[in-house]
Amino acid sequence: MPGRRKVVITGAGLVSPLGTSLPEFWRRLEAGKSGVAPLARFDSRRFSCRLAAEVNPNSYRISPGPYTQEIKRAGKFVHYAVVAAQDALCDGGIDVAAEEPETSALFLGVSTGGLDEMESAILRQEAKGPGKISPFQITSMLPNMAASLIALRYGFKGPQYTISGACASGCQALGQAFHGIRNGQFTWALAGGTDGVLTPISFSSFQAMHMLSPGDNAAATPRPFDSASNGIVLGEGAAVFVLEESSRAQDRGARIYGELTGYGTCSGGERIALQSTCDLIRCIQHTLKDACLELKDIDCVYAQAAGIKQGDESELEALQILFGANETCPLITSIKGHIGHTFAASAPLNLAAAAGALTRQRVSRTLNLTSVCPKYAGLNLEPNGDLHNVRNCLINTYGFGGVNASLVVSRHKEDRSQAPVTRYLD
Amino acid sequence: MSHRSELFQEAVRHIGEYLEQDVSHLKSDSRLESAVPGLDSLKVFELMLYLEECFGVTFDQSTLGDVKTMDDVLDRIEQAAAKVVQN
Repeated sequence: MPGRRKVVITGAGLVSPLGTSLPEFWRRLEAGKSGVAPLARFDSRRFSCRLAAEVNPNSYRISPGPYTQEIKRAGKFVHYAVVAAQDALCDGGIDVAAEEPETSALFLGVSTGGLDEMESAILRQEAKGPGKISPFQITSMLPNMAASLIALRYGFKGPQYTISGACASGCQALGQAFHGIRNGQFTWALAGGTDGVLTPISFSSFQAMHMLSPGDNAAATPRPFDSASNGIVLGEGAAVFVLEESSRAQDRGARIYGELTGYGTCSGGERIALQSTCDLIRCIQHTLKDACLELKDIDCVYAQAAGIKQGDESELEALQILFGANETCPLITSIKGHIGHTFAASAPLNLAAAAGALTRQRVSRTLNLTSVCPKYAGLNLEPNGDLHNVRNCLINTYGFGGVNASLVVSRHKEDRSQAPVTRYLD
Repeated sequence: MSHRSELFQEAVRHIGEYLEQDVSHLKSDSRLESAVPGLDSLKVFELMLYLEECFGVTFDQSTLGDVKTMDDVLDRIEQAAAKVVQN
């Protein structure tokens, strides 16, 4: 659309249950590796679910620099965000100190913030008294501290925003950053999402909602879209991206992973914790309109599907209504069988996966999907992982409270140097 | 070596552990916030919590706002230790 700036992804950093480098993440997704395993962080025997998709604490390192002690003192969501940000800046070749001040912005999605720090502080207070609470208690758990400590550490001078929209937080953060650059408010941004909610109170709370998959079979849990799905597995992590105005990126010769082309968000759910078909349809329609794309242009859908039967079916119903009549139904996949539900990091990690689909022309299949309800047999839910002509990927997220958000990421058309040429680009 | 001198050495060691840096340059009259880069008032409060654990004492919270120098730190440790002995 004339007058709109193009927004491209030029740097990526992630911390995930499948590792902390983008190539490693892509390879393990494509190989069908799972980060789901018996929970190691604390004794889970008293919970119905004893599995989690944990980040290996030895897989990431907070590099020396300003505010290192404050970062280490904060909740895991801060650790993951800082590491993802440092890797994204390095990957994107961005030196914040050399950038013109106030031309950039920082957008991070965070759902619960430092729940781990809050929980341990409450236990400490009750065991030892209020005098044993750290003066850094508040700053260790405030949701904005992931963005704030990144800004302080690297000297960001532009605006910083922390968006809390439950599991859609990261999608909304990416979307707002994308629109801000597209509208000319700033020329580049650091954007993504982070969460580190693997604590006993998370397990008991999701257990109370009957949302956790019971049992110990890590090799077959969770089961997004599967007719035998029985709940989610809690995950954690972060993904942060350098988003940049396209001409600036090309002028400096930056590598381009893809182009953000559409974003939509709207309110509405079936109940407080369940997405609705009609609101998801509206959200996708808003997103496609924003991208100036039609349904037939979408080649791959990175679904919200986490392994909750009602939620997954609601999304399938929405996709069936939208895409079912099309001759070329997009591939529909979920990476939650690989990495569990990572909450605010969910859409950002999906964006990392989609960047792999666009640049490598490979789409990972949904893990643990063996039997689809016949009602949805017409949908393309079982990609074989081989080469596909992937031009545009749709990413769906849903957050408790009726927060719907979707993104479209596309192959960057000016960038003809990478990936196989497909019939769509000719 | 006097008890105060031994206490000083032990306190310096624990402060180094807490800050994860070498603070062997500290002297008894060193002002903490100016002698140790990055050590601000909030970190001094948390440092005192850490020293409580290390020395097995409980400081009088109302006096911690006045901790400025290494001597102040040693005074608080000695006062708190004396209370432990009395009890």
